[in-house]
Amino acid sequence: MKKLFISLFVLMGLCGTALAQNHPHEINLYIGGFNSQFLSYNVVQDYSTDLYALYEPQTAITTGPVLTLDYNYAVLNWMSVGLQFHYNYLNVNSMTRIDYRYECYKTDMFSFLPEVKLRIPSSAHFRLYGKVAAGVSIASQYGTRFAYDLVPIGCEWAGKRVYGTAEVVYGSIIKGGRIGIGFRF
Amino acid sequence: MKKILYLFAAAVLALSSCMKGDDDIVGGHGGYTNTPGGQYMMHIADDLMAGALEDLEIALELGKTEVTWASRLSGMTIEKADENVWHLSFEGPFAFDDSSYQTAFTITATMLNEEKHADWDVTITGTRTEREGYRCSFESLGAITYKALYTNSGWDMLYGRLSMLVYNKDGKKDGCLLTFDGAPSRAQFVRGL
Repeated sequence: MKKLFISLFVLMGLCGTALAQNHPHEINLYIGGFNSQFLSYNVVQDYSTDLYALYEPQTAITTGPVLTLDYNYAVLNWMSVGLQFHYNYLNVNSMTRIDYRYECYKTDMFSFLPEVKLRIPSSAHFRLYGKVAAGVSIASQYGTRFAYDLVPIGCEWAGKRVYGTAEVVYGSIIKGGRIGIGFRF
Repeated sequence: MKKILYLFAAAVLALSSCMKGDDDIVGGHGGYTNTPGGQYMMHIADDLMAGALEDLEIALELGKTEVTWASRLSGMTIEKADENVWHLSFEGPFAFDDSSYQTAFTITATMLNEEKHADWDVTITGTRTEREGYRCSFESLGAITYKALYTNSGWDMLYGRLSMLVYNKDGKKDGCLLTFDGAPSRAQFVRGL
């Protein structure tokens, strides 16, 4: 029984990773959401009355949906390397206490993150993977800052060339999930 | 066609008058209590300047006639400069908002009458260094007059102008002006200068 399970597991792995050999390039387009780490960026919760508290804007930032495009190239059967590109807008609500000036505006954020994608042995029509990416986010007014994106578990299903994809994400751009569509060639 | 153009021009003028740029001077309506900025400057006029005058009056009441006398109350140096004119100076940590910030100021106080609780003309120049690279310099534009209506209370009426420049790590951040014309609560605060 144990041997049967091991054999099945290896067979599934071969099916899944064989795809990478035949079609090493893949492009995925995702939409994702939930909280951004920018929520805690530049937030001053300070109610003292010295100059710093009066002049530094107290800011709350939320993110809109995040569009993600990534490209991967399979360097090994079980590993791809690539690049993620993210776009999202930030809703910035800011108040300067010196004169109670309130500002509310949107600003764009772009992120570029080189990534490594690791495949877990799985079937030809349902494939599991994990991803690690690190790079930079650029938002006007907030400059450039370190960004990371971890996918502990993601899955691809349906076709070999065109497929659906969903993943759990924990990162500086979003903490939540992404769904999308991918194309392998 | 002409009417439409006139209407359009009027609309543009009306809209532009409603718009407020970032560099516009703000404040200037209502009393200083309307804004924390006004309250901050009032602290200079009250805790620093009026506090120094109180120290001076106590020194005079105690008969301190030496030319220079270091006030035991605040560590301030009081120096008689002329008939009815004193120089007061201070440098060191000064309590403010549950903190203590390095503060230095020089005051020239001119007694206007010989009352027990006198009226004064006061000029001040000073600086304060605060946290996160913030600091300010302040000075009176001409003399600020402190008038007491009653002998057993503080100074009820203030006349004059106090200016303040605010700096942070990047340089000058703001310029502010507090204008007194009677009761302190009616002082006008303006920033963005």
